Parts: sequence; C-alpha cells; structure tokens
Amino acid sequence: MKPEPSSDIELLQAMRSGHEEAFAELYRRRQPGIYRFALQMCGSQALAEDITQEVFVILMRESHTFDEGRGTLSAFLMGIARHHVLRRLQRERFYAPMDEAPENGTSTQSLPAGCGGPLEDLSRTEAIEAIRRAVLALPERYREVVVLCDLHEMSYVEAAEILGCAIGTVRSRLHRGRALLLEKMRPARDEAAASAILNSTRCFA
Amino acid sequence: MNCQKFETILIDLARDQMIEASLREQALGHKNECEACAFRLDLEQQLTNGLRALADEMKPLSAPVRVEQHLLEAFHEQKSLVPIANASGRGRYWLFAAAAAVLIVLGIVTVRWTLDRPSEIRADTPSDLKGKGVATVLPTEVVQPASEPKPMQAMDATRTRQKHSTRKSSKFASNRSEIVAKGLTGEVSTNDLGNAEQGEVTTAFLPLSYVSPVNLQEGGQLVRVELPRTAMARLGLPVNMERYGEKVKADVLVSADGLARAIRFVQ
Repeated sequence: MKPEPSSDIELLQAMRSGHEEAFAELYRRRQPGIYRFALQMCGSQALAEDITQEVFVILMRESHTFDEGRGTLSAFLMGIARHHVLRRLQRERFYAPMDEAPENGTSTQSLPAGCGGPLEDLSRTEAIEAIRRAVLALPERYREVVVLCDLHEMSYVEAAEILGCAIGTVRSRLHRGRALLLEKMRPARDEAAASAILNSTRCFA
Repeated sequence: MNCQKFETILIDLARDQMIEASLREQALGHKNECEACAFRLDLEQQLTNGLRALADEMKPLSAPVRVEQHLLEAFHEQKSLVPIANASGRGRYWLFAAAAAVLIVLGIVTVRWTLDRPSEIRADTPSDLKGKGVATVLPTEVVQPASEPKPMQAMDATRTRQKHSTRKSSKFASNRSEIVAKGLTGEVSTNDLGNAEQGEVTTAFLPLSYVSPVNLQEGGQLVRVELPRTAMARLGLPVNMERYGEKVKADVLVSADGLARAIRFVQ
C-alpha cells in the first residue's frame, strides 16, 4: 500500500528535526515551480539554478522564519525566489545583455488549435520564442504578474500573496502587462499578417 | 454592456476565469455587436493561448540533479553544524549579556570616579602646598600670647592658596573643627590651617578661657565675626595705632555647649 503523501508543513517539521529525506521530498515537490519562475523571470538557466539553490538553502537555514499563519510554504518559497530574482536582475543590469540562444531546450510543437489570427501563421517555435522574448522584455513589476498568473496559472489571491500586494494591484498590473505584451508582439503579428497575404496571393496566382 | 465595462472583464474572459454567468453572457453579446471589442477579445485570447503554449513548453523543466546533490550535501553539513550553531547562538547570548554587564559596571565606576575626583583634589592640595615649601609655624608660639606676645608676622607666613576656595561643606566644617582642636593642642601646622581657611591669612587660635584640649577634641563651630582692633590688644597682640579705628575679622570657636572657646584673627 502506498503511504499517504505528507503535507508541506509535515515535511518541513521533519526537515527541521533533521530528516534528510523530508528535505529531499520537499525539494522535489517545490523546486520545478521555483526553477521555472526564476527561468521565466531571468531567461537564464544558470541564474535559475542559482536562485533555486539559494531558495532551498534559505529554507534549510532559516525555516523558522516561515509562519504557517501567513500563507503556504509554496508562496513563502516563491516569495524568496522572487526576492532573489529581483536582486539578481538588479545586479545583472550593470552588464550588457547577450543575445543568447534559448537555453531551455524546448521542443517545437504546433500551437494549440483554434487560435485563429496572425499568431497561427507563425511557426510554433517562432511564436513561443516571440512570447518568451516579449515576456522577458516586460518591466519586472508586470513580468512577475504575467509569469505568476498566466504561466503558472495562479489566482489573483495567490499572486497577491507572493508579491505582497493587493489583489486589485495584481489585476491592474496583469492588464497593463498583457497590453504591453501585445504591443511588443505587434511587429511579429504584422510580419505574419504580411506573410499570410503574400502566401494567399501566391495561391491565387 | 458598453465597451468600458467590457474592457474591465476582458482579461478574465480571455483567460477563462470564473465570472458571473450573466456577466459573461452580456460580454459575449456585446462582442457580437461591437467589432472593436471582438477584435480586442480575439487578441487577448491569442495571447493567452501563446502564453499557455509557453507554459506547457516549460512545464517539464526543472533544476538539474546537481542542484539537489549540492543541497543535500549542504543539508548534511548543516545537520552536523546544528548543535554547534545552537551552542554558538546561546554562547552569543551570554556573550552579549556579559558585555552588557561589563559596560554597566564600567559606567558605574566611571560615574563614581568622576564624582569622587573633586574631593580627591581637595585632599591632595595640602601635600601640594607642602611640596611648594610653605613655611610651618607652630601654633604653640602664639597660644600663650599673654606671656610672650608675637607680632602678626605669623600671618604672613601662613599665606596659602586653594583652588576651590568657594566650596564649603559640612565635611570641611568638621575638618576645620578638628584642625582648631589640633591647633590648640599644638599639633597643627599652617598647612592644615591654610587648608581650613582657604587662602586667608590667620593667626593661631587663642584661647578665650581655660579649656581642656580634650574638650576641644569634641569639635565645635566656627563663627566669623568682625571686632574692633582693640580686641587684639586685649588678647596681648600688638595693634597698629594708625588703623586703630578699623575693624578686624576673626573666627570664634564656639563649642557644643555654646561658649566661645578660642579666637583667631583673619586678614
């Protein structure tokens, strides 16, 4: 019979008592979200790795700072990750950005069916890459909301808990962030639309 | 529903979020009527789909195994360090407590030293004067004025200076009484007298009536008075006739029973 999975809190308590397995379990359970969040915010695999490691080192050493009454452990960890991401981004701002190839090794698939419109005409890879770049080009305050709400599919409440702001702020930032995203993707859309017109002309020719 | 209201729920609509059924119906109805809003909703839905595609693409991503290994190693180290860390935490507490105690003690000592310092200076003054070679005159020379009157040259010899001449205290008064008693018994020097009188030139104490030195050891009070110069003559001291009409200052030693026991003249 498979044992019932322990809650985060139980694992945390076991970890505090020195159970390595509990810590490993907690890490395996929570690290993908944190790693992805860091990667989506920074766009760098190396930074995302560092941040993930830092978050769990902090959990290991300062787990007493977690207050169960103030939120979930997941939100607590994500809050630490966000703090580190912003700090790293602040530091990285001093260096000239390098136009790196996407280092996350994503595979190319077709966009979900039924999208309609110009984005449909872009290849899957190009479309995803365009969105990825557009997200990374957003100002941090909008980027984090878009990442949490759209990429991590969190509710406004969860996002507000992690960001430490009001739900209304999350909503308005998401609204503004998405508007900015659409603005940034307009050249790609226009290009796609032009390409579509050209293709149809050729078809008729 | 108008375009403005549609705009407020546009994002929730595009993201398939939970909204009121009636509101959704109204929004979809407006979309059918308004081309601009329909286009906006279409764009937002495309964006949502694009973002979801990106999220799906990234879903399998996770930190490499080496991160976990590093963390587990760190956890091992942390575990072995835990007792030491706790001990150092407690140790730090006691260290702070000890440091605070030391600081408090130092503070008290400093305050007390600062308060005691002026009295130490006063106590040091006579020896300083002695070091400067102030002449000493034995009071026995003037204790018996009737038999062998001496001029007031003794007053010049007892000139002293004090730094804190204005400071008066009960401690000082009792010192003075003691010095007076010593003077009458012949034990006192002008250093002591100088200390008592603080910069004034005085004669030795002259007994006003027969008094036992033992009685004078009990102490008394000094009363500063002004007397006609003829009073000096009555005690056998020489008087400058040119200044006959002037007054002279004197200290009268009044014993505990209220009787004047001795007198000295002050210049």
